[in-house]
Amino acid sequence: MRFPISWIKEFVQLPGDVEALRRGFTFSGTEVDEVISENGETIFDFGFTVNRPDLMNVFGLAREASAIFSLPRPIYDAHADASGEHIGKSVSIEIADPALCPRYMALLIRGAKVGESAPAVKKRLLECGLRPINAVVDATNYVLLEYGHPLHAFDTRHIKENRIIVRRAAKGEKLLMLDGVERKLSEEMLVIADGARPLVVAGVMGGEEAGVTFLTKDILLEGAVFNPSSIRRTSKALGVHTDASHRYERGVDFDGPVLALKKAAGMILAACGGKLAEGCIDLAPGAVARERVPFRIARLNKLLGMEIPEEKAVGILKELGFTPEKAREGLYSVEIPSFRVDVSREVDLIEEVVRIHGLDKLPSKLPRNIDDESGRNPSVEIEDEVKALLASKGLSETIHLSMTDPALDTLFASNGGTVRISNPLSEANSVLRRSLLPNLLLAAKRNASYGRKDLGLFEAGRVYTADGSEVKEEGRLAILFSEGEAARGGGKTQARDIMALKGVLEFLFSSFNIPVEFEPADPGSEVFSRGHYLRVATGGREAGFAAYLEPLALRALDVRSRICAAEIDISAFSAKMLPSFRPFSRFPASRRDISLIVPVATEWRSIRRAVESLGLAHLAKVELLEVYEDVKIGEGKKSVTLSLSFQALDRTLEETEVEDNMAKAISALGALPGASFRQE
Amino acid sequence: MGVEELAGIKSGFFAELEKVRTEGELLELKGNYVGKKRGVVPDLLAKIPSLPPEERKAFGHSVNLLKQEIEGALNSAMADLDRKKSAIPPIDITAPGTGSERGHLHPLTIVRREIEEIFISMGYAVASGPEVEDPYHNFEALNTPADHPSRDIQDTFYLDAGDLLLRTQTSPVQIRSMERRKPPLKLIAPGRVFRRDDDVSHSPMFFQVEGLVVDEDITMADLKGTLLAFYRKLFHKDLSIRFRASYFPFTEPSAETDLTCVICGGSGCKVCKRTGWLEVGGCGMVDPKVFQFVGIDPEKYTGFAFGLGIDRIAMLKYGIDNIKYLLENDMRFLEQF
Repeated sequence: MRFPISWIKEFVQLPGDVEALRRGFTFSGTEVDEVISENGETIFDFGFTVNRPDLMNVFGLAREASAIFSLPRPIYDAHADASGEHIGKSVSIEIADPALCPRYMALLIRGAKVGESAPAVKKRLLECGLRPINAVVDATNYVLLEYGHPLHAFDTRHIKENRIIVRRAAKGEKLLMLDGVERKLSEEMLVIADGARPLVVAGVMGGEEAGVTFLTKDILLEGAVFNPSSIRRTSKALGVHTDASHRYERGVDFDGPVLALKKAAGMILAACGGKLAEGCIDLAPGAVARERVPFRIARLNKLLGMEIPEEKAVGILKELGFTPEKAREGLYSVEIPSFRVDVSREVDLIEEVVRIHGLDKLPSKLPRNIDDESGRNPSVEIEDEVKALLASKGLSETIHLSMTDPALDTLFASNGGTVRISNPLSEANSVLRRSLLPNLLLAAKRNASYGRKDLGLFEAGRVYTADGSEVKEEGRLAILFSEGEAARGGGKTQARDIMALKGVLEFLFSSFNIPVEFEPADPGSEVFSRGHYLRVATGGREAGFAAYLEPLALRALDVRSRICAAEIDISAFSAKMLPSFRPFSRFPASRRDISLIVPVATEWRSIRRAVESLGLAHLAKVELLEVYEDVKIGEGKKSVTLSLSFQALDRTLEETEVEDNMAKAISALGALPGASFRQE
Repeated sequence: MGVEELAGIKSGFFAELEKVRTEGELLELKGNYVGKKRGVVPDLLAKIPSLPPEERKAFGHSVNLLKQEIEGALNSAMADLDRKKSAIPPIDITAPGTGSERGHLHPLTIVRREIEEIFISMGYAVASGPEVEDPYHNFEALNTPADHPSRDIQDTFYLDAGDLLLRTQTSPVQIRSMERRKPPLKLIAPGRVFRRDDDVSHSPMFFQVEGLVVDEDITMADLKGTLLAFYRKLFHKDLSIRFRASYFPFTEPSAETDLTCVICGGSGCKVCKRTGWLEVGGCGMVDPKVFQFVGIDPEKYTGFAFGLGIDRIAMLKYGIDNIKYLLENDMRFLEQF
């Protein structure tokens, strides 16, 4: 909000140094966003905080400056001589809803000749960003800027039955407003009506019909106080935000109308002539006694951690317009002026004192160590450990928005309800993700678009599912591998296929000492490639999956790389176990290798199971050494070389023991469908 | 038997040694010359007794010299062969190394960890809370009632499900922590927050750290000292901070924190808009209303709270000039950390 410095100087002798002025306001809580120099005038653009509507005017700023710079307190002067028939003879006013309108005041001017404002008035309006309209409207705006209280001027010709009623709108009522738009009103909204219809949406915007024009002769000037929440709801519901609603929704000075009306009337009489009717209508059903708040010097010092002398603290409150009365040593009863709608408690007064005294005077101390839950909780620790392990394996961490595209989300997640955002920024980000994969896939696509196809990406974060009116948040880990061209001539190439992905998962789980099982399964969605989908389980509990994405499904998304991905419930890693020591054999192991020829479709797990199910004594390890296909082996066949190790804890095994076991293993392997042994 | 004959044997030996390529050939050669059974040299030595006594000494001396020479040559040839057998073949060691591709943690993760470490070293707990919040925890209990203009500060994403929203700040974790346990409390809460805002300098999602300390004698001076210690540790520099009075619904008094510009050290640069200071976050003393919401006696306990942006700190630390990079997940960006 922009205000020229020279205007403020009409009320208080500000320091001449613009920088000192800017700092003074800024450090006491009212930021000066910009200092503008315009035609020899210095204008401050203030960034007011929402709790200080009292500062959003010239006089309020002068009042504040007098405290910041310890200057004499400014006085607001307003004069308008009344003559002519009493206002009560011409108009009657009634407040039908006192809760929404605690005060309504009005003055009446008869016989004015409405023209344009004086150049000096226009200049100031323009400097503050307002457009001059006519001398009457300009006077109300001028007072709004100078004194902060919104006023409204009616052309009395349009007030039917000479009656003003402050009431809620009736169902179905409409009003053509000053911006030329007709809006439907609701029963929630407060209006200023005449005997027949609404004229103004209270505190928000006037109607077109009853406004003051160059033809107006008799003017009813309104100065009122409205309920802030009601104004805010109305303004939001109508989508109309005005200088008046901006102030009303923050709260205005209950006594504001008194001087504001007088000042505006004086300006109108000076500009347009006419006569101010005797008397003034002042309905104040919401009037309350000035609030008094206890203020303890000890509490001030305790909260701040520094000593501000009593005299100094009380002096600051006085400079700000508060009236502290000493009850006893160190205790005051402070009267709150009506313009400080934000102050109602001791702690508010403490803030007033410290912000003027200077937050830069606070010393630096440290609190003691007190929290018995200090440190990270284990689940955060494990998630970070997972991230570090993956980075050590050459993968890169990504962080994506929690929102995603609903179509992609459905493709990757079937569990739980979708959580829709009621007011999304775009359809592409209109649901909360149920899977981390859609956004990860989009990242792969984006990276591929500039030639980065060889990718190992991961993200650890939450997914969200609707469960009735609740939303469940669960931690997930997703990994995505995209196969690119291997670098030639050595370099840092890494396999990005599903076996490498499986290897990374094995590495992760074994790093936490968690046994993990992989089981081929049917993918639940066509986005995964049939026959390349592994269900991942730990301790018999499903933990997630690893799979190739179906190339045709990817092509439909315009992704051309071969991509595999895994998604794991991060809580699976909380089964993390300490290694528990097992005695190991100090005697040498006997290792035997066997080469077996089997049909290509024979799975390693059935070969391994054939051996392991024999329960051979002292069998320590079954390892897969090599798999290859070759014309020499035969069409549809592959050679599998495995190695069996035998070892006893307490002795070196006899050759015959090993050979007996091997004979059993060979016969079991030979019994596999289509199996034979290589003839050397 | 003469010296010429010995010279002939010697040159014959060395000629044959030249041709030896394998250990087997070498052993064969050794047998032929110095082998006890069939070696030429032992044969010569065996002949000595049959020589005239006056020749014996000189001849014996010459043969011994020959024997030493041959054995020496054989030993060094054996050592050569051995060296060759175990030697590592030649490699172009100027080519790039292989394997062990480097992975990368996201800069936001790195910075969050650093922030956590600093606060943990000062005895703080690291807390977390839901990202999907109810209006009570995100607003009301933080003294931000409905129909109050302070809600305008944060443009909110609302959800269709229930009466829920995406948290606009990490401050609701303050409330949840104080509901769950009683003072003394000393915690930080890092996490994602959401605001309905997307332009050049705003992302609809970003990362904050909330701080909360509640005890019997917590003062605003403790707040200032804490933030000063934190920022000095974070940037490893002797920085200053200053407070500017401000307004937040859940703190009273409230302040904005300015930090000596970490880029220029306070002399003024583009990043700090020539002011020498960076605005790094809001803070203040916990408002008594907030204490009342969670059932803590505001007369007995006082506390401070602060918030700071992880994104902003990461950008300052690494000199990242556009917040948009942080969530784009472009490898050209990620691989720099």
